[in-house]
Amino acid sequence: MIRVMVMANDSLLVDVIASILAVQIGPDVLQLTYRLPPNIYDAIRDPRSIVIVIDEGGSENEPIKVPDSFRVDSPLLLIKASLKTMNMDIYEGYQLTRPGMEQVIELVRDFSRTYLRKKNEEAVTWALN
Amino acid sequence: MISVLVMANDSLLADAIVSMLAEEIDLDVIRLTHRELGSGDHQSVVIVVDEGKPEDESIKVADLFRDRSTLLVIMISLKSRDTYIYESYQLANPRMERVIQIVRESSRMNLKKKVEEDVNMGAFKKVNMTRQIQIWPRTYHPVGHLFGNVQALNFDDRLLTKAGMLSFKEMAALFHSFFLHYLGRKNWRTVTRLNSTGRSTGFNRRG
Repeated sequence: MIRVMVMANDSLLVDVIASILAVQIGPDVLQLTYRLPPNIYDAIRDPRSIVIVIDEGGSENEPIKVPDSFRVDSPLLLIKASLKTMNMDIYEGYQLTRPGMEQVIELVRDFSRTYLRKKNEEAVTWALN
Repeated sequence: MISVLVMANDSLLADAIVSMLAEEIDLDVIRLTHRELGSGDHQSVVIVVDEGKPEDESIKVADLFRDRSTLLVIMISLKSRDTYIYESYQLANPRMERVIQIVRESSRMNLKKKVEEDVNMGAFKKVNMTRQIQIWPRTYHPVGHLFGNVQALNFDDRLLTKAGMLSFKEMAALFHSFFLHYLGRKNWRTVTRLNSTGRSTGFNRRG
């Protein structure tokens, strides 16, 4: 089962997000706060887990260590949602078993087509405005 | 042009990778060794050839993602011969439906990978032994669980009747299609069936 972990401070919004995920994705949704000891987080962490971090902003003494959640051998989806900027940063890791060079090149092209071009277009639009 | 940074030490394999990438007309390839990577290198596509060096020399993916919102890292491990893909991108003010879609796609990919691993392990060779099948019942439908169980039975019967005729590849494809049929459903449960005599002995559900 895919475990979804929602990390945030206690708030009504987080309760709602966790509830929606529990209904739509599955019952294994855990709601965590930053104040938990690190060993608890490590104990419940599953290599196939999905982590959703709600960044409420202004928590300077509780920084969100997004890159630390990456592991080389762990397929992981990490979504960092910022309530301040209303944007979401998606970090996704997965493994390909012995791919060919053509597959790697196609992956580069797909990523560029989907995200880099869009990013450039947004920059141009912002500059024009 | 897509700018691609290849990080590798001098080796024949790294030369080959760089030359193959450079042959593509839409790719602009820059090559650096691990020690030459500076803070000013901000290519959005990075290919890392991980030669399994000691910890202090190896590239940490977390370092590459620092202060970067859009990045594709392809790490080719010479040790395990596998390739790890790390993607990061930003969505501007997405809806909840989009988040759910991303989570589902990711879980689908993980499940597919798990199936491939199972196929590689040759789990299907023991057709007449106890098998564990993951199913995704339709929870929105009032007879969802029944539907899922009926599908599992149909699949088992099909597998049993054709077990002697199918090749290993065909059986793997059949099982794979069965899994794909249930993707997108939630609350999967493990169903264990003992079918040594060819008849159903019921389901042991584990929630």
